[in-house]
Amino acid sequence: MEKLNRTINPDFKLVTHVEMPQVKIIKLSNGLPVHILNGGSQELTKIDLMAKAGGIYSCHKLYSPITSLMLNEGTATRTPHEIAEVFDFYGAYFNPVAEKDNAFVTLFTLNKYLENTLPTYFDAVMNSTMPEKELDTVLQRRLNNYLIESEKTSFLAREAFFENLFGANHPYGIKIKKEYYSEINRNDLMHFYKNHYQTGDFELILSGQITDKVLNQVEKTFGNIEVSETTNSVGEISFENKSNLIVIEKADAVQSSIRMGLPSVTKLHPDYIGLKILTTIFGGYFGSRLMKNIREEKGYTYGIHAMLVSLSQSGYIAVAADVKANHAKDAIVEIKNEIVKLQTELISPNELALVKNYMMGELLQNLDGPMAISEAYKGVIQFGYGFNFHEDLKTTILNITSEKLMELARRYLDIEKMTTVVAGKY
Amino acid sequence: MILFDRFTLDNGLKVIVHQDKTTPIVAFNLLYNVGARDENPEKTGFAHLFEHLMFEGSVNIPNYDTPLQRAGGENNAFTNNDITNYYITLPKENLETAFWLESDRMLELALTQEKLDIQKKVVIEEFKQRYLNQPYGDWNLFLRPLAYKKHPYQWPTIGKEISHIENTTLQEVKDFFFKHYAPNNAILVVAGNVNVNEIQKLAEKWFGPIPQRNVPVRNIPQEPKQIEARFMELERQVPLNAIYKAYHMNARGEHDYYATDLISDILSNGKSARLMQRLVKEQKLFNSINAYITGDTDPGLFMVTGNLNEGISFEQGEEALQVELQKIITEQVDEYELDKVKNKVESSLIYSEISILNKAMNLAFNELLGNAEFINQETLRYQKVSGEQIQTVAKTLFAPINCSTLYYKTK
Repeated sequence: MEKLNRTINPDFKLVTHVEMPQVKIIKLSNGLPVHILNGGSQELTKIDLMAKAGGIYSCHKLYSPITSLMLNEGTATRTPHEIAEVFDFYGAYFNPVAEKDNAFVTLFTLNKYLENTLPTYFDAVMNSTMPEKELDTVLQRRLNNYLIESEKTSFLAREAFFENLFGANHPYGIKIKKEYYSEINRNDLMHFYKNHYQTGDFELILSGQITDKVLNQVEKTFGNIEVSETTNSVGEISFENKSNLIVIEKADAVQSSIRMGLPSVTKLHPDYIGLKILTTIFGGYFGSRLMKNIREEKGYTYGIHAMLVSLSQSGYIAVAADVKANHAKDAIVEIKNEIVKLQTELISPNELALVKNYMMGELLQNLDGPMAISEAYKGVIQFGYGFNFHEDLKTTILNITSEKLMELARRYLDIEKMTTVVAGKY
Repeated sequence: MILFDRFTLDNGLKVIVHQDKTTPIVAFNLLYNVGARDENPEKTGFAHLFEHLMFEGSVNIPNYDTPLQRAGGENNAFTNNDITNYYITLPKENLETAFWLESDRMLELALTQEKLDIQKKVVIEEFKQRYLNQPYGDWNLFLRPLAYKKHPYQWPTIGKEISHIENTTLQEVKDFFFKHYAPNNAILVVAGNVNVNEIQKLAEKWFGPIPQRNVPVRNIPQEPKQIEARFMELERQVPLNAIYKAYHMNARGEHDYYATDLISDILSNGKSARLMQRLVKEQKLFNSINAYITGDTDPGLFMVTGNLNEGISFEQGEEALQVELQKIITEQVDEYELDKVKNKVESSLIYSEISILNKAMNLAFNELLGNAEFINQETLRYQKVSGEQIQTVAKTLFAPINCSTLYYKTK
């Protein structure tokens, strides 16, 4: 037998083919749009109801998240306990999540129990009554969680970062304050609920084994409601971001949380995907520049990440890390050094090839299986895209050059405009 | 039903192959039968620190991550009290890269003092990030040694204290490798659009030449039966008082294990569960409360943890909690509630089979427990639990002398 040479990497290929998932968009008899992502080998269904009910729809920071949490706290015909019993008894999950732009209400259920769980899910979304008693408990619990979060340097840094990036008056930037929990009242929440859920102005995304039977049940449940337009969001507010350093001292901290970054482009911008590739190289995977330098060479942190995030009104770039308290300054210097390198030195062909291969593998994984596919779809449908976004992503990954990435680094990673927050010690 | 094939190499490496034609991704999961319980009490946190060093290059491959990323793969690992588990997902066409990388680091590592020093720093920051720089983060550092007096489950995977990580020497790291990292102490699972013949070929080629090693027979001190209620208090800068309770229970896979797990579900799996309904929503004593089992391979712990609402004393919270625990003993759970927790077990098993990586991990862990086939018997074992059995089990479980309690007080 030939002697095995362990120093040579066995043949591998760059992934160039990615099977794009098929989406079918239909309308229920009342015009409600339903996106169908059929696939997977388990007989289950995931329903994501996407409502115009995220944080952007109110300048009161708590309306959106608390409304979302109150959906399954009682309806005209079901007590909160009854609602909880149905989902638990049939092994289903009801998960409301209010994001910065949209709110999602997710039902995860076995197909064989859909007819048992779907009516309760519908009732929670459409007929919630938000009883005072339940509201008090929810607010008390949220307040306590807020107090616990406020002890974390990572939370303090994140809140200050967004306030500074988007302004203290923009829904993206407003910080939560303790008194918000006592100021809020049921009428205001019901008002928000009526305008943002009960209008029926939402879309459904179905993934899993979406059989005709499943579709019939969805039609029967959602096909009769009246659909009207949602009252507008709080409108676009111009935000002025100012570069500065904010230090939040926390005497007993053994680590400092760093958040550093600036507003950036959204998914609608032609540079978005290129910039996504750049932030991956910068700090988006285990072998990134930041991880190599600040974790693997200096040992200042357990993990450091850079990300490009797109919200509807703005994107942002952020670097996040919890670092050894007496090395916060050093870490910031190194983050800046890495930015300057991206702006002044071309990425080597080797590193570029590696990142391309890595990102193609990641794309393949992000579109594997019904749950991954629905998450990927949720991320683009909010911007009016379908999987054409992922086609573009693929093409851009395969074709982008080091020159282009350097140009993007110069244009979008302007250190002078960055906000830096340190919570802990500095 | 998860179908699989299996074979064992001459050097003792067990290999399990699960075919799933629906995915372009392959999951490659390598489980080593070594965890924090195999550590010296004076050198804790070692197994986990070692896991970090496994990513610092091996004898023929200077860097582990780079070639894998170049092949479009993702990887990570975790260490717990029982095992150290390494996993990769990558495009099927590039599967051989996973064999190449994993076999070389099973063969031998390329350790240096410098690499060790850096990873010590990283792990110390991990210690701080997870345990010290978080409100309530350190409770487990205190509750474990209260519950276990002899068994090594008395320390968490991260280690008892930072100095143990600081004091680790390069020689100790090397010794640990040859003592525990061996083909005959590992289980490999490959899952995806693969067949057993191609995996057998690849396994023979890359893992076959690695020599079998002398893995010492595990000789872990078993925990003597607890015969007195144990108690301690801590005071910290936190917003709410918290209660942590640990009851000794049986090992994973033992007869009463499933009944015990269902008790934790009756108490706190889902919003309709008893502790949430009674203590959080009705009586408003707790801000949050949970019951769960640690699921260890040696006899583990049944945990109850809760944050008390402001103005509620430890005595009030404790008393109401005890009422709920006693009810499990005195009133047989009705058929409806028993069906509910069993349905939940069934659906969560089905949900867990969506991910190819999850399937691979579960196969490996079940093989460690005795037979990968257990994965297909899990639902049935839960189905068999009766209301009577739950009562009997609860009686022993919730005896006050079986409990260690930590009161975590606001300063």
